[in-house]
Amino acid sequence: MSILFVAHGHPRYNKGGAEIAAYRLFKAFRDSADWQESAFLAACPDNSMLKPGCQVIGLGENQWLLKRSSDALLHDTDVNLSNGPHGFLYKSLSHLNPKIIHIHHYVHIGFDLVYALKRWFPAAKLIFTLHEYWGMCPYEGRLLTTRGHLCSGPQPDQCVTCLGEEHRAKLVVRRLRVQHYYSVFDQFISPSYFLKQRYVDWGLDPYKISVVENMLPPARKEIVALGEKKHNPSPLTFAYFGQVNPWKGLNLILKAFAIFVQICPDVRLEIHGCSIADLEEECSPHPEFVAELKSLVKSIKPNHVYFRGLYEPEDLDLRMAGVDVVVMASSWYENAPMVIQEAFLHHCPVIAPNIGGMAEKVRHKVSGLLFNPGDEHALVSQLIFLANEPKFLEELQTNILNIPLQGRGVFEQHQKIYRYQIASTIKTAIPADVNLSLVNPKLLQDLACNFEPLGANCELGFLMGRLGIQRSSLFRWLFTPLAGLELVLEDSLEGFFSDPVAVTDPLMASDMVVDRRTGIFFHASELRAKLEALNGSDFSRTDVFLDQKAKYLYLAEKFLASVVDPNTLHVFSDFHQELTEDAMQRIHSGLQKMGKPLGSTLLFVRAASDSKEDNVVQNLGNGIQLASIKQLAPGDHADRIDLLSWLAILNSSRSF
Amino acid sequence: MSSISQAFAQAVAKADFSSINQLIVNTILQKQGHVLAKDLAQLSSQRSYVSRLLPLLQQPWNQEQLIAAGLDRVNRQLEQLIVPAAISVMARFSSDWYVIQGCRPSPGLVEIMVLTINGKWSIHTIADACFRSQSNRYAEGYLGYNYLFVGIIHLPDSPGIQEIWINGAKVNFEIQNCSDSLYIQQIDDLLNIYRQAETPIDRLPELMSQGLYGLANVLQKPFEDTKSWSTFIRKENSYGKITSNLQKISLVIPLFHRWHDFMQGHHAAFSIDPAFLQGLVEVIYVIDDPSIEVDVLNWARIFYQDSPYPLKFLSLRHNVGFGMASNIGIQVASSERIVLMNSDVMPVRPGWIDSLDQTCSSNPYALVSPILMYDNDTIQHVGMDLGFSGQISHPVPCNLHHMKGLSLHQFLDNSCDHPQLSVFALSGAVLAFSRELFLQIGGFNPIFGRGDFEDLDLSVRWKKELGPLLICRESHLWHLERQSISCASIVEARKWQERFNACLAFQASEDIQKLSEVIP
Repeated sequence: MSILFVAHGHPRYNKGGAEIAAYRLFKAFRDSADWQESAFLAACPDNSMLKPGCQVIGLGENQWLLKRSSDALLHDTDVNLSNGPHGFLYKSLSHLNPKIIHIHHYVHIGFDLVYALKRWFPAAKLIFTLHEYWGMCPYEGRLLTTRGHLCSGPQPDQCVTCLGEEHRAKLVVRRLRVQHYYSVFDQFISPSYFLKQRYVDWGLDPYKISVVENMLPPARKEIVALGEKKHNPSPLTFAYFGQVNPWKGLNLILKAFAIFVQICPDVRLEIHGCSIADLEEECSPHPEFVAELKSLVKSIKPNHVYFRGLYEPEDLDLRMAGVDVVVMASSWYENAPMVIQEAFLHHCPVIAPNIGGMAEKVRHKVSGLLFNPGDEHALVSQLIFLANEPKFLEELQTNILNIPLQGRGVFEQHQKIYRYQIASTIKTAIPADVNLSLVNPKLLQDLACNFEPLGANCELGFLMGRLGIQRSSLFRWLFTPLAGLELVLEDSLEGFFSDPVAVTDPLMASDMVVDRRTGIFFHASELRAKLEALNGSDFSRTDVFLDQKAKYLYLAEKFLASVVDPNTLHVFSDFHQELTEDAMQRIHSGLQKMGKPLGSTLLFVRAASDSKEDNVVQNLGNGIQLASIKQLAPGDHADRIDLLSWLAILNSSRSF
Repeated sequence: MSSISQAFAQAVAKADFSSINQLIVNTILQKQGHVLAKDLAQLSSQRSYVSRLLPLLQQPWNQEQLIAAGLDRVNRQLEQLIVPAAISVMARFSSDWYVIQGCRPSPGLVEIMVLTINGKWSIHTIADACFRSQSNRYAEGYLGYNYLFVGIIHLPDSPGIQEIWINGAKVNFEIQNCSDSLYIQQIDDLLNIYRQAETPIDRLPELMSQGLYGLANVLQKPFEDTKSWSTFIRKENSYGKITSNLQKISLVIPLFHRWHDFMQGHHAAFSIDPAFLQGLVEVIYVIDDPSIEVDVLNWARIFYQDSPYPLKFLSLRHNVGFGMASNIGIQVASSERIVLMNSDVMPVRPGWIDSLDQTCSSNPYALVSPILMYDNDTIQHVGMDLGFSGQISHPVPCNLHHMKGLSLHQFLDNSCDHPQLSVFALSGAVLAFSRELFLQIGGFNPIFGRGDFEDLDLSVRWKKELGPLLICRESHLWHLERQSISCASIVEARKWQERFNACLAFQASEDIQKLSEVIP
C-alpha cells in the first residue's frame, strides 16, 4: 500500500517544523513493511531551480519537487494539472496507487493540486494535518496582525486591515476557496488541542479532527542521560532554538537576558538557528528586526550570548547536550512546536509564553515554566527563579524524564487513522431500535475508533455493542470498583490479573472470577471452572492460566496504546456511586502517568440526582468531564441501557 | 426694405435653400445686389445671413456676374462678420448620423451648414451645447477658440458630406468613420466626444433629446431582432457532467474583464452545494470579452474537466455589454428557471439557489432577487426605490437602495416575517425568473450597453406586464460591486456611462417619466 505525502517544502531545503514532521512521517511509513510504496511531493524552495519549461523535479525514488506556487492569498497551484499530454505532474505520479493522500500544507502547493489529486486518485482518502492557522488567517496564518497583536479570529474587516483594501474582493473569494478546500478532506489531524479548538470554533467538525503529535526523530542511543548532561553545571545555559523572525520573540528573550545577567551573572544564552552574520540587515528579510537584535546583543555584557549558527535536525543531540533550559518567547499562538518535544527528549525543561500550543505542551512547574506573553519582566522572573533554585531545575528535569514522551506513538496513531479511513467504507452497524435520525454518523465513527471503557460494570460493554463497536477492550466486561481501577492505573497495569479466584458471592454472575489484589471481577467461565477444579492449589502454570494471561496481555497492550492516543475517550460509569473529585483526579493522574496526553478526554458518568441535571456534561478542565446521566442500567440488568441518554452525553462530550 | 431683401429675409429665416439659391439667381439677373447690401447694412443682426446665405454665395457662381449684380459687396459685408471656427471631431456613426465637435472664440447659437455630396443643403443648430473651456486656449496673436461645441447631425439619405460652414465660416474637416464599430464602443466614443467638448455632465439629460437618445436608439437596432442573438456566439464549449434529466435551473453568468478569482470563488461555492452536485443546475458563462476568452477556456479545460456540475461557455464575437450578454445566455439556456448572476457575486453558503427556485415556484410570474450583502455581511441590496436627481425640467432617475449598510440581522429583524418581500425594483446583480417570461418581454433593453439601469428598466416593464418583484429572504449572496471594472483611469468614463444610462432609462420608459412628475 502507499501513502502520498504532500508538503509545502522538502527538509533538504526547508528546515521548518512542519516540513520536517511531514518528511519524518513519510520516511517512517516508507520504511515500514506495509507502506513501502509511499511517496513524498513537496514545493520547490526556489523556482529558479527549475529549468525552463520544467514544473516537476524528481528527487530520488518516489520523491518530487513541484513548481512553487506564488499566490499566498488564493493559493493557486502554478503547475499544469491536466492529465493530458502537458500534465507532467500527473505523468510523474500516475504510477502511484495511493490509498491515502496526506497533505501537510497548502502554502506553496495550492488548493488546486489537492483537487487534482482527488481527481486523479478518486479511491484515495484525503487527510490534512493542520500546522498553522492559515484556514482562518489569510495574513501569514499566525493569527497575528500586521502590528504584531494576537488576532481573535477571522473578521472580514480585520483581514482587510491586515492585507489592504485592494484585497477585499480576493478575501471573499479566499473564504469560499478555503471553505471548499476544507470540505474535501476525510480527516484532519491537529498536533495540539489548542489548534483543534480554534478550528472547531472556526467551523470545522470536531469529529473529523484527531489530535496527534508531530513525529519525533527515531530514538537514538546517544541522547545523554540525565546527570550526564554536562560535565560542568556552571554556567547555567539557556538556549533558543529556531528561526530568526519577528514573531519568534528572540528580541524579547534578549531584552530579558540583558536584565537577567545583571542579577545572575553566571548564566549564558545560546542562540541556535542563527549566526552573528545572519544579523546583517542585508542578509535578512526582516532588516529592522535584526538591527534591533544586534543592538540588544550589544547591550548585554560580553560572554553571555553565543550565536551557534544554523543546525540540521541530526545536530540537535549535540546542541541540546550542553543546554540546561530551552527558552521560547513566540508572540503568536504556535501550534505544537517541535522544539518543545525535542527539548523534552533531551530532558530540558522549557520556559515558554503562557499561550496557545506552548501553554498546552509545557506544564507549568512540571515540565517547565510559563510566563505572560510579550512581557520581558515576567520572563526575567522565571529565569531568576530557575537560576536561584537549582534543585527545582533538577526536579523539572526528573519530571520530564518520567513523563511519557508525547510523540512516541505517532506512527501507530497515524497508522490507525489511515487504516480506519481505508476501511471506513464499511458502515457501522446500528441496532434497528435506535432512532437513527438522532444519531450523528460522525459521532458514531468517532466512538467506533476512540471509545475506551474503564468500567465500572458491563453497561459500557453493552453500550459498545449497541453502538456497533465490536472490538474487544480490556475493561469492556469487567466489574471495576473505583479503588481497584485506581490501583491498576497507579501500577500501570503491572501485577493486574496475578491472583484470580472464583467468585463465591451468590449475587454475582456464576461465571465470574475476581482478581484478589485489585478486587476487579471479570467474566471467565472456563477459568473459573478450572480454578474450582484446582481447589486452591497453585494454578499459575496451568494451560488455562497461560491462555487467559495471553489474552489479557493482548488486551493490556491495546489499552496502553489507547492511553497515549490523544483522541481516546476514556469513560468510567459510576455504577458503584463512589465518585469523588479526588478520585477523579487520581484516575486522571494514573492515566496521565501512563501517557494520556494533556487535554485528552476522561469522562466520568454518574446517575443524575435531579432531573435538571439529566444528561448534562461539565468540563472540569485538563480534559476531565463529569456527566450526569438520566439513569444508569440496573445492576442485575446491565444490558438495559438508556441509549438515547448515553448518546446525548457522548455527543456533548465530543463537542467540547 | 426692398422686396428682394424681404424675400431673402423670409428664405433665410426658413433656411429654405432652394429659395435662397433662386433668389441669388434672380438678383444676378436683376443686378440688385447693391439693394440687398444696403438693406443688410441697416440690420441690427446679420448672423443668420452669415450662416445661411454666405455659404451659398460662396458657391462657384460666375464672379463677373456677381460683381455686376453687386452681390460681391454682400459677400464682402457678410465675410467680415464671420467668427472663425474649427472642427476637432467629425465622426460618422451610421450611414446618415454624424457627431460634430469643434470650437469657436464666442458662445451662442452654432449653425452648421452642410452641403452633401449629392448637392443637398441642410442646416443644423446647436443651441445649448457650447461650453467655455476650462483651460486657457489663447495663443499669442490669435483669437482664443475658447468655446467648445458638440452636436449631432442627421443627414437622411445622404451619401456623404462635401462641405461644412459653421456660422458662415467654411471649415476643414476629416470624417472619422465609426459606423462599423460595436455598439458599446460607439457609445464610449460618443460620450468621449461629449467629454472632450468639456460638456458638464449635469447637462447630459437635456442633451438626450437633442439627438443623443435618437442616435443611441438607431445604433442599438441590430440587437432588436431576438432571432439574431445567437449569431453573436462565436463558439460554445461544454465541460463537466453531461446535463442530467434532473436539471431544472440554468445559472447564467456574463464574464467581462476580471474572471480568474471570481470563477475560483464560484467553483469553490458550487462545489460544496448539493443543488449543483445533484445535477439540478447547469452553469452558463457568457464570455463577453474576447480578450479573456483564450485564458478562460484554457483554465476551464483543466479545472472543469471533471466538474461535478455541467458548465457551458459561450464565447461572444465581441463585447456586447451586460444586458445583451445576459439575453444571449438566457436564450441559450436549457432550463425554464433562470438565475442570472453578475460575475462579482459570491454565494455565502449552499442552498441559496434552492431558495430562489422555491420562491419562483411559489410565484411563477415574479422576478426574484436574493439578499445581497457586502463582504462584512452588511446589506447591499434588498430591493430598490426610484428617486430622481438633476434639474426639475430634466430629471435623472436614480436607484435608492433600501436599508443599505444595515447588518443582515437588523434587516431580518426589522422587515416583515413573510419569506418574500415585495419591492419597487430589483438589482440585476442576481435575478431569478422564468426564461419564457423574460424572453416574452424582450429581455434586457440592449440600448443600455455596458450596464446600469437596465435592471430598473426591466423591473418597471416586468411589474407592468408580468408580475411582482420579490426579495427572497432566505437566499444570501455577497456582491463585490463594481469589481469587474477595476481600472482607476476609467472612473470618469464610467461616471458618464452611468449617467447616460440613467438618462436612457428616463427616455426609454414613459412610466418612469410619469413617476418623475409625482416623486419628489
